[in-house]
Amino acid sequence: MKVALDLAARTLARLAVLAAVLFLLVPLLVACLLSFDDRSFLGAFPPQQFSLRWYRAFASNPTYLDGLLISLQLGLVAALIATTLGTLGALALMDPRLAGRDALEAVFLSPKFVPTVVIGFSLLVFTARLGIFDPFTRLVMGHVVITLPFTLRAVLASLIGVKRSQIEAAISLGASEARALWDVAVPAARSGIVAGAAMAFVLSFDEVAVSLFLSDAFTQTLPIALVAEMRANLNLTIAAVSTVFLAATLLLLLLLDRTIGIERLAGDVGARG
Amino acid sequence: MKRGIHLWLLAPGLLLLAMLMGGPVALLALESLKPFIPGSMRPGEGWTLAHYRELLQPAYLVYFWETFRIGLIVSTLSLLLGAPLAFAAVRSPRAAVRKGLLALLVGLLVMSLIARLYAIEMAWGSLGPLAPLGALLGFAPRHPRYAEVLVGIGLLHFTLPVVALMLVGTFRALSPRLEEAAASLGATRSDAVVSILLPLAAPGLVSAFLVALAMCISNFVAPLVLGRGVVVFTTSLMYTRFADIGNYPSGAAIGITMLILAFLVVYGLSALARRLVPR
Amino acid sequence: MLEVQNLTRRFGSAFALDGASLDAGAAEVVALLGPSGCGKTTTLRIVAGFESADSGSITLGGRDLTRLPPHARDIGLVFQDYALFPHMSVGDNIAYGLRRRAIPRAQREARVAEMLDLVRLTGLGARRPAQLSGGQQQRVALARALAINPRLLLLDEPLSNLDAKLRHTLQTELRQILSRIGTTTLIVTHDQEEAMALADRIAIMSAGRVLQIGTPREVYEEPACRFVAEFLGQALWLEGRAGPGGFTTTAGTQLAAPPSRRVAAAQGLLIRPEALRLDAPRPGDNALPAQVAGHRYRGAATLLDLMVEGTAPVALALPPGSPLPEPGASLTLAVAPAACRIIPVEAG
Repeated sequence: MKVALDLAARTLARLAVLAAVLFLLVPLLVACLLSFDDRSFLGAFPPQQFSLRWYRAFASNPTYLDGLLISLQLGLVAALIATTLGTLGALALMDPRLAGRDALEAVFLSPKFVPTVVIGFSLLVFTARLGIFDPFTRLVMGHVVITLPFTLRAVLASLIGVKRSQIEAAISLGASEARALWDVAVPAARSGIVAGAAMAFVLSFDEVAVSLFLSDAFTQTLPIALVAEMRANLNLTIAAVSTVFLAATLLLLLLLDRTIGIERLAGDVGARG
Repeated sequence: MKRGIHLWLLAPGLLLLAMLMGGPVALLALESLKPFIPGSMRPGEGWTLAHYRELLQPAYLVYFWETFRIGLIVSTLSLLLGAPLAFAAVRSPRAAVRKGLLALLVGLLVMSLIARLYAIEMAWGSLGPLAPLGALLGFAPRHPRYAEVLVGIGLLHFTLPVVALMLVGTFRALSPRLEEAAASLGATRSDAVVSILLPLAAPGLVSAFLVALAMCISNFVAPLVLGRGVVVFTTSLMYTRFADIGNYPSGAAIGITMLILAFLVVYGLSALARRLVPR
Repeated sequence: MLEVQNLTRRFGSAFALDGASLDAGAAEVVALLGPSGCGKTTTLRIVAGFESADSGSITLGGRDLTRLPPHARDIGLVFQDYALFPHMSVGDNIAYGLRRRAIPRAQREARVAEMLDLVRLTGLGARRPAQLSGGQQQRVALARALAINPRLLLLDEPLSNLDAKLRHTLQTELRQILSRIGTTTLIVTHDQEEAMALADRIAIMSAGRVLQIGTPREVYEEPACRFVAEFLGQALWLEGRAGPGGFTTTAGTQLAAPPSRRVAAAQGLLIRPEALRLDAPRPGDNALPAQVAGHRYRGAATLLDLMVEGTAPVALALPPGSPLPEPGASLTLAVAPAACRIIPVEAG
C-alpha cells in the first residue's frame, strides 16, 4: 500500500516534469517550423512546403531593421551603464558590516517590483517636465532603471565566495581599500559581471512596456515594431524573427555555459532573498 | 574610517534610482491628485481624489478582479509545475537531466518574451495544433473568452522558468542528507519529500508564489498581444488612459494603485507569510 | 617594541575590551590566550587596524599606530582561514605586498623565492592555493605576511584549521621560522598547548582584560589569580583562608605553604595534580584526605579521579601497573608544602 502510493506519487511528479517541459518547448518548436512555411498566409498546421520567404521578408523590411539597430544600441548602452552601477553597488553591499545593508539592497532591487508600465509612464511625465524629449535618452533612462537590479543581483551572487578576510589580507599587505576590492573582489566578480551584462542586454532588447511610453514614431525599438505588427495582423515574418531569437538564445546559452557554467548561472539567477 | 569608499560605490546607483525612479514616481503620485480637463494635456488646478474614487466603482473593480483572478490561477499552476521541475533539476540522479533542465530554464529566462508569446499564439491560437487541448478548458478557440486561456498560458510560460529557478535555489540550500536520514528511518522517497523537504522549503515556495503573482499582475505584454482586446489588465487600462484618451491624472492614479498593490504582494504578503510559516 | 595600552571597545552596552594592555619586546613572540569571547581577536584586529578602539593607544617601535590606516601599518597578518587569493598563484600571493610597495621585479622574485624556501615550499610558486594541502596553505599565508618584512607579525589562531597530527609538526616548524626571522610576533589562540609551545611570553585574557602576562613557566607556576590557575592545565583549587605559615581550607584542613607573593583580600590554595602523591608522606609533607571517584585507562597512564573536600574531581596520572584503589575508597594524599601556592581569587 505504502509502496504503491509512493510509486503513484513519483509517477505523478514525473508526469508533471514532462508536462512542464513540453509546455515550455512545444510552442517554440511550432513557431520555428512555421517560420519556414512556404504559404503566403497563416494556414493550418503543419506546413506542407518549406522556404525562406519569411526570413527574406524580415531582411527587406526597413521598419524592422531600423528597430533592430536601435534595440542593439539601446541594449548595449543600457547594459553598460547598469552593469557599471550594479557592480559598484555590489562591491559595497558585499561587506557584511555595512550599516543598513539589507535596506540598501532592497532599494537597489526595488525596480524589479515596480510594474514596468509605471516606470515608463512616470519617466514620460518626468522627462516631459524636465524638457527632455530625445527618445533615445529617455529610453536609456528607462532601460537602465529596469536592468539595474539584475546586474546588481548577479554580481552580488558571484561575490558570495569572497571573504572579508581576503580583502583585509590585501589591505594588511599595503593595498588601499579600493585597490583591495579591485585586486581581490573584481576578479571573483567577473562571472557575475558577464552574466549580469548579458541579462541586462537581453531584458532591454525585449522590453515593451517602458519603450512604448518613451519611444516616438521615428525611434521605435524592434519589440515595439513587432508588437504593433502582431496586434495588426498575424503574419509569419514574426515567426522568422522568433526563430532567430531562439537561435540567438541558444548561442548565448552556449557562451554562458562555456564562460560561467549553467549550474553556476542557475544559482546566480535563482538566488534570492 | 572606511565608510568613505562604500559611499562612493553606492552613490551612483542610489542617485540614479532616486533621479529616474524615486522622483518620477513621486511626480506621478502628485499628478494622480490633479483634476483632469478633457481635451487638454495639462492637468487642472487644485487637488482631488476623484481618480481614486473612480477606481472603486464596480466597472473598474472588475479589471482589478480580472487581473488578480488570472494572476492567482497562473501563480498556482507555476508553483505546481515549477516545484517538480526544480526538484528534478536539483536531485535527478542523472547529471544530463539536471543540466538539460537547468539549461532549458536559464534559456527561457533569457529568451525574448515577445517571441515566446508569439509562439504561444501560433501553437495555442485558433489555427494552432494545440488549440484542441486549450478547448478542454471550457471555451472553443474561437470563443472570445478563449483569449483568457491564451493570456493565462502566456503568463505561465513567463513565470514558470522564474519560479522553477527560484525553487532550484531553495532546494539546493537543503542538504540531501536530510532526505537520506528520513529514508533510513523508513520513509519512502515521496514521504521524505512531503514530510521533510516541502516544510523546509515552505518559505521559498511562498516567496516564489508571490513573485509569480507580482509578475502576472504587473505584466503588460501578454494581455496586449494575446488578449485580443477582450482581456484587459490594469496595466492595459492604464495605458489606454494615457494613449487613447490622454487622461494623464487617471492613468497616474491607476499606476500608483498598481504600484501599491505590487509592493503589498511582494513585501506585505511575504512578511505575513514569514509570520505564518515560522523559521 | 609593541605597546598596547588600556584598550577599551564597547559593542552596544557590552565591553569587548575593558582596559586591555600588553607589550612585546623586539623579536619576542607573545601569545594572547583566552577562552572564546574574551576579546583576544578584537585586540588583534585593533592592532591590525581593522577595528578601532574607543580609547587606549598602540605604539610600535615608538610610532603611534592608533590613527594609522591598516594598509600603512607595516604589519603582517596571517588570518585564521588564511584568506589566500584564490585567483592568484602562490607566488603572486606572496608577491602581492611587494607589488603594493612597488618593489622592482627582480627583487620581488628573489624575495618570493626566499620566502618559499623559508616555509619549505620551494618550487611550488606556480601552483594555485586550491592545489595545496591545508598545511601548505597555512605556510603560504605565513610567507605572504612575512614577505613585506613587517615590523610586527600577527597570527590569528594559526593552526586551528589543521588536524591534530599536522598541528604538532607545524608547531615545531613555526617555532623555528619565528626564531629564525626574529620578527616581533603576536599570536592569538585559545589553545594553551600552542601558546606554551610557540610563545616566549603568554598574555592570559578574560572578559576584555589581560589578567597576567609572563613566561609560560610563570603563568603556570605563579598564576596571578584563580582564573589563570584554572585556565592553564589542571588545578586543584581549595577555598579557605591564608594564615601565618600556611592555609586553612573551608573544611578545616591545615596545610603548610610558602607565603603568598601577592596581597589580596580573598585567597585560595592551588595544587597542581602532578604534585599529589599516593605514597607515604615524607617528613614535613602536607596530608590531604581525598576520595576516589573512579579511574580511566589511558594507555601510557591510568588516570585516577580524586575528590578533595567536595571539589570537582582532579585527575592524577598513575604509571602502568600501579595498584588501583577501588572507587569510593578514602585515602590520604601527600603533597610537599612548596607545591602549595596561595593565590589571589581575583587579579589585582
